[in-house]
Amino acid sequence: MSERDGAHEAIEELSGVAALRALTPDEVRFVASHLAGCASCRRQYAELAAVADLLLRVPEPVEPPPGLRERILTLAAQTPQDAPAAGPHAAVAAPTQGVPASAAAPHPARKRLPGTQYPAPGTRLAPRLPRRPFDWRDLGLVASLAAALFFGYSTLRLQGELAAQSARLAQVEPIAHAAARGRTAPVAGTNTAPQIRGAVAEIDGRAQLYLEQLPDPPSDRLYQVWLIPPGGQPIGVGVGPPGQGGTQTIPLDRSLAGMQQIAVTLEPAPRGSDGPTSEIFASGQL
Amino acid sequence: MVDDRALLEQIARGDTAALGFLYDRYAALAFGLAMRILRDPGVAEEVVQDAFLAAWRRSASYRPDRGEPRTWFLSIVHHRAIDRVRGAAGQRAEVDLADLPELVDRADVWRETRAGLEREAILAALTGLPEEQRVAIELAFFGGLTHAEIAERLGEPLGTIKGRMRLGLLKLRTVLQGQEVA
Repeated sequence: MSERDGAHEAIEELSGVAALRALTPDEVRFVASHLAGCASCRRQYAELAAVADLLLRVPEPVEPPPGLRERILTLAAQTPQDAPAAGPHAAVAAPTQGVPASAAAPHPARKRLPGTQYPAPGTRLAPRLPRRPFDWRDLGLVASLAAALFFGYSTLRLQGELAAQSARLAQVEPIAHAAARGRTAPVAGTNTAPQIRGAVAEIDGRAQLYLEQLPDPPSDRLYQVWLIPPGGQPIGVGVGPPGQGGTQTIPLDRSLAGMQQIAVTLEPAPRGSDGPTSEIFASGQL
Repeated sequence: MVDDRALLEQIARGDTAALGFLYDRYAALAFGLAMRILRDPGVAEEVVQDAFLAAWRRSASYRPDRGEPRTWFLSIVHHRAIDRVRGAAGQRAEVDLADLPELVDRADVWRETRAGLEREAILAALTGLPEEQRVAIELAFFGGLTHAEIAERLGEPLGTIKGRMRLGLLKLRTVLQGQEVA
């Protein structure tokens, strides 16, 4: 009994902090598990959270930079939507690692013929390539290219991987009669991380890669973006924040013009590498 | 004018034009909120973009009993901006209290009052709080600091900061509840 009372008291004390979203992750877990089974604390928290919500309207509205609206609409046209949550508790599930339902589940808005099957994540449709994750350092696979320079070789492998990837994409996402002016292309996870979704867009000379559901990397690694010209070598064009997965928008410091492919690898923080050193996490055809 | 809920339904059906309407309604509020938290136009722009795309992706999971679409959307902006401030993945909780389904029915009693409140009224109520309560609330909600970080920054005991946040919010509610829609 006293333990229970102690918990109520602790939660009551934390309720304002929780409503203002100023708990540490450990405390969030503690509070959430208590609230799930305690109606009176829940009511109290909900009252304060409703007050905190009002603060969302306090900052003065500021007109966003021109071009943002168009960029968002262009990227949205390339971004698949999630299916509605399956049950009342579905939203509680941690949307972090692993393959969320959304990666495999078709969106209801996307018209599908009855009987058509979405391939399981990681299913490769064509052409056939080695099934295991791509590895830049695996020089043994194609003996005839053994003499090729490392980067030249890697690029060949990369292009093979990308061709397979875009074939998969073309099947999985009858994507986009891509919107509008500007260049855009869908980007999707490889076998390494099939849940990744995203799109690259260039509008008014500004290129950006938007990615969702990136696995959380170690703190000394970051995601690096590469553009590959036809027959050329990967050019590093941007990095994400170190140690961060989830959703990211990475500005690219080069135009997509003249480029054939885009790829994302995991590289050492803080600046990335001169050439790709990890397996490819996501890629797309430009 | 199409109401916000109908707009979200259209967005959930894959209508990018409806997303454009949502943008026209809330982009300035969203950008203002992100700027207040991040103080950097470039980062704020990225956060707003991410938030609109998240709204696009998750529109089918919006439930009316969770509150107004405006609050739902601005909460996404707020969460993402705070995530940016806190940086490392380790600071992110995998459970979001707002996602607990039982919590969605927020204080129904005065929902109408809340929806009709003007920015000026909310701002005035916030400004009217005792200084130490207002500072604790602002450092948390617009500064992205945890209560432990606020306690450290202000050199106050943790319990004091928790108390100021809670009392400040209760006071805000009392003040604003007294202001029925004009």
